[in-house]
Amino acid sequence: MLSHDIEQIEFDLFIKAIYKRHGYDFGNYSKASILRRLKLFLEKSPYSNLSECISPLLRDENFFGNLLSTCLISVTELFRDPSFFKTCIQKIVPILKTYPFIKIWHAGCATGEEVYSMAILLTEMGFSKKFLLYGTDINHEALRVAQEGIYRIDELERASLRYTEAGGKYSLSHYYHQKYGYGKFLDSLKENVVFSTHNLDTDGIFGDMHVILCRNVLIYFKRPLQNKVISLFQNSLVHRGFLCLGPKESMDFMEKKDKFEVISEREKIFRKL
Amino acid sequence: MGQPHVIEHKPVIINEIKCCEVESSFLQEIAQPQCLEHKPIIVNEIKEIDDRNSVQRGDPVLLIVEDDISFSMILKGICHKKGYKCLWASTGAEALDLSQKYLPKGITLDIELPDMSGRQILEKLKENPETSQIPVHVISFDADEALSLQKGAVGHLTKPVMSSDIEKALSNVCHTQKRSIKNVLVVEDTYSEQQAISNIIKNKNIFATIVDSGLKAIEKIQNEQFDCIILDLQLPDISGAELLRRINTLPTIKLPPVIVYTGRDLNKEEFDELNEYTSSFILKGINSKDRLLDELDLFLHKIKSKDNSQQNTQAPSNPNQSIENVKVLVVDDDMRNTFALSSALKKKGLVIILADNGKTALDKLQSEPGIELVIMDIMMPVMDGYEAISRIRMQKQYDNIPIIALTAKILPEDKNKAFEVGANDFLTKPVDVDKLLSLIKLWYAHAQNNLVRK
Repeated sequence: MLSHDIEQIEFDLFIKAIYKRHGYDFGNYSKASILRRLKLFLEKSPYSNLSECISPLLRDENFFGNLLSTCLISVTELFRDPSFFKTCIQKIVPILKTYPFIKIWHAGCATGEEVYSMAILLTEMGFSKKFLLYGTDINHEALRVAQEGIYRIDELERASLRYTEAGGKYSLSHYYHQKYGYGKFLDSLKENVVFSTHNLDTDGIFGDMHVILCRNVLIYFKRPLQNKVISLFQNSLVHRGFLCLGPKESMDFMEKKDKFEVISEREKIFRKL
Repeated sequence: MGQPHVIEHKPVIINEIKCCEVESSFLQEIAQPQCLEHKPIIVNEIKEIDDRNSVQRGDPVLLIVEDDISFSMILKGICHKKGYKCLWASTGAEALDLSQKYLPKGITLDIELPDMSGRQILEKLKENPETSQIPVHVISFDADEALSLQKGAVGHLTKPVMSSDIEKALSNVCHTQKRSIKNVLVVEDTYSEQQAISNIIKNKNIFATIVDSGLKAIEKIQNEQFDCIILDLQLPDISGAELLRRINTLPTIKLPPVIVYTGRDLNKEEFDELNEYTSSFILKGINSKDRLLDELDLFLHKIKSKDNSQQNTQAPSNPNQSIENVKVLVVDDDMRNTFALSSALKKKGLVIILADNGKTALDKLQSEPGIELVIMDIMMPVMDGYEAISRIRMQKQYDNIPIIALTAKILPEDKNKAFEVGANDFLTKPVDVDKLLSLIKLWYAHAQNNLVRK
């Protein structure tokens, strides 16, 4: 048997192991790009082939997080989809204003841009510190970046237009100090933000949330895990809380579809019934 | 620069000068480290302060050149978080010596040192081919001076208190006192800031007397008449408030207006304390101080991203996710509740210590070493949860201990209040154990990572 064929078998087993153990389905990714990234991971790791990785993948809690850092390129940016934030301000914020204190969960927050975007908007909407944002992800490396809150200055400059489109009142540069080609978000912005690991497949209910944002995460999951996660969200939301999904995601075929009403079909905003 | 706004505060006028409009909050006040211990540091101890005894070949090392000890310690904290070991030099000669010996990855340089100017140090670094390529981050009180140095260094920044702030405060003193100021006492222990302040004052034809400790200030004021005191709150011997208190008790001495400047926000108690004595003008350098520290962070970020060799030597940042054997203090007066809750938590491998009111909780924290997290009911007899939480936060060693409050559904305003007194998070009763476990996991990991800037 050719070594190439053996590698193919290894690859299939490895992807299966990831799915069975962690619920992440890389079957949705293009095989070539995943294979390329796994090779990169192997080069940096002490393992010589994927078969050797299967044992730590199953047993070592941290292994998968590190693997994800290499294999998942998180595609997130500040004020991604400004129209979504704009709709939030119109449809969600007035209702949030009726609570004395609000909690928002960003599930799968990657490097944290969405969390900071939300913190900025809430500050401008006059929530003056009466909120707590939880950014969770399975990828430790991404969380470390999120926690630092340091982003390249060109990214921040590009985001300033989206910030204005989303309904920002001032200038994005109001919220960070810049030097040496990077910008760092102010500590005052981080006071009401907490980042932590949470695995949507294996970790439990994350409670009393007024809003949950989980955008562009479910597309990587197979249907059973999608259903499980939606149900986790339903249990983690307060009565009449909001759930926001990504533009390519839908509630249409979910088991819990009837438990939510549509607030904005275009922006994929739902509300718990 | 915001306009100073006057807050009516009988019989005191406070002018707050803010450098930026970003409001600070109670949370920040709670998270603010308390003033550094006011005890004189003996120079021999200082060598123990940096990491020179533990530096090994290949370690990423950073050199901090700064004559202000307490500020050096803050800088060191930031560098440690970024995975650097630190060397500390308080003079130019020592800085050059250390940079030769250790070839640090980067240098932060305060350009006003007692023995050598920043320019001289930079030139010497550049002359030596071994050290000429080391990135240097200039920290300076005087923006113009720093700008002129920028050619040789990577960048520069300005120390917290701006000259315009001090000028403004002085003219405010004149204005409210309805007379001019001729003679000022400057109480400041850092050489570079002494220089900077005296330069500002000299330009205004005011005579400045500079002392570097609180006790010397008391001595001076007994023998001389001053129109105004400029006071740094962080002195080596006694606190600024204590200094004012002592001057105030001196017979026949009337305390003149005081310009206080501080590198951080004052909490309400400190604020009130300072205002007991005289019309104080509080200069808040807090936001510029933050900027200073953020810019150091950005400097480290930059040299790290340029230096790939370090990427791999970094310890993995994976937090320990297991909450097995974590010691949790559960405070609740309802025994049935407590029993159900604690047995559920024990099943998950947590070690539970019980207390039935706030007072017992404080005692348990003392008597049971190693408590890592607190779950606090709010409504309790003897001492309620609010008071217990704020008392815990008053103790420095519990700055970082996670506290989760349990609030009643019928009292929504409890949640805000719980935060105000220093809780990290809250859950509404009756408590869902799974929800509580998620929060325990989250805040425990958070505390382990020690993510609060110290």
